[in-house]
Amino acid sequence: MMNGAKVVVARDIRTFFTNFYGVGFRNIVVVLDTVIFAFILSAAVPSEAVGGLTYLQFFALGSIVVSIFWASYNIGRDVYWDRESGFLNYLMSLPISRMDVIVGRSLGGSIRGILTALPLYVLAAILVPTTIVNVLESIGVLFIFALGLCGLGITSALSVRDETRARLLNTFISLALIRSSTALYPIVAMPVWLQVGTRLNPVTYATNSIRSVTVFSSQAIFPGFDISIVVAFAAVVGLVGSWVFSRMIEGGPAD
Amino acid sequence: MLVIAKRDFYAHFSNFSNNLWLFMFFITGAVFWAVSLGRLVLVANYFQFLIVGLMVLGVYNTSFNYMNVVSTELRRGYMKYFLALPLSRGGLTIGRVLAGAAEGIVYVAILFAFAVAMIGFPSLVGALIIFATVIIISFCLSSLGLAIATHFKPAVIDPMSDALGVVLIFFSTLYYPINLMPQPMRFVTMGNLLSAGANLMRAGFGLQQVSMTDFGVLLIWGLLFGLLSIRGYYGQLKELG
Repeated sequence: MMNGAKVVVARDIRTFFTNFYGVGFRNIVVVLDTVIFAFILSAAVPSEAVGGLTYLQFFALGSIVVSIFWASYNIGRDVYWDRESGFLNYLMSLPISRMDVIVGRSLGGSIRGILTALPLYVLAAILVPTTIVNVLESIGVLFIFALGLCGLGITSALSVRDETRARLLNTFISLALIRSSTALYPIVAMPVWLQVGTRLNPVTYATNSIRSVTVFSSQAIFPGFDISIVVAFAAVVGLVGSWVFSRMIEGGPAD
Repeated sequence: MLVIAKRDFYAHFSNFSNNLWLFMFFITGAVFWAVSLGRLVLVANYFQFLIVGLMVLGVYNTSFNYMNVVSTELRRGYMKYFLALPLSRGGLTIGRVLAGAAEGIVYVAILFAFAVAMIGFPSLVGALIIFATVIIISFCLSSLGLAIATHFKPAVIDPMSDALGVVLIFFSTLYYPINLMPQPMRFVTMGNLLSAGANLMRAGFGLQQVSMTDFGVLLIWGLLFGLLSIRGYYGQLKELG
């Protein structure tokens, strides 16, 4: 990796975990969501509706994706703040290439997403049958997905100038993508109109692949289609995010 | 008292379009959540059960988070401006509690319309029960928020309110009926004001029986938090001069 990008990645990770209370508490809430909410509802959810798992197992794997989503997507908010506070100008004055900054931000967002989700992996490993190979494969898929989320976060944050509108847009995108995905409930439980959106939602494919890859089964089928959608999403949105970011650096703020 | 309540109320709703958007997002999320879980969970009338739970969650989000407004004012010294106004300290204090409650009530009115569309109209008695519950629970939550904002140091307010929020929400009947919970959890849930509010509102919609215990729980907490918030806010005002 380029040295400049390394510096940007290290700084992104450090600043993210500076707010240890925020990150830690967010994880505690997700863990409680799983061990209380999903545990209690497990007794009332038929196993066949959640792909042969219990609702607790289903939810535990889905919440990893939700957690990654939050950590990586928010890199957009950080880039926005850096632009508003003038920190980006300071970054540009350093002997680091612009490409290093762009690559560094995306990688930093993805790595911090993975680091945030690690405690949830521990919980998932307790709840579902898995192996270290399964977990590593799953982290690999999530890393690619997180790259796409960083691109999406940067694109949406830099598409609007006003802070309130940026916040509203972020809330809308997060809510729409998570709630209309299979992260928290299976597609069979959704009404038909919601299923249409779910099938167009990249979070659905990321969640489905994580569930297939993480759960160890001797008859498991490799989720090639789901993973290829995740890779395509990461490639397209990651490139768009980089382009928007580079346009902002080169030509001033994007209005 | 009314001047302060009106000022807070207008300040909150001054940016109407942003508030409306955020609220619409909340409703959309709630619909997605409720229709999907409603079809998944094998509990009778779970969809209706959850819709009412989400209504109470809406009140919680507005009234309890009123604490952020007050704690920010305390931190920035804005309270001194209030003291310069020709208003009594008691009026200022009660005005703040009422403003927080009023904001929650406005949101719940919209949520109520949404719940009626999903569940159907309650009876006249049911509507009165819902109305009374909303007023008491909004008052309880806004006074709880105010009590926290005025009794604790700024650094402790966020962790304290988050931890309390987790206990209040997860140990309540907002998302799941009490009979699904493990035994030790039921004890906490029965004394939880969010459970009491949700149970009474469900009773108002005819989904379960009215329980006087729930009214008792709400009144006790309302009284306690009301006294604590008035004591805390009045104390802050006295400290400032």
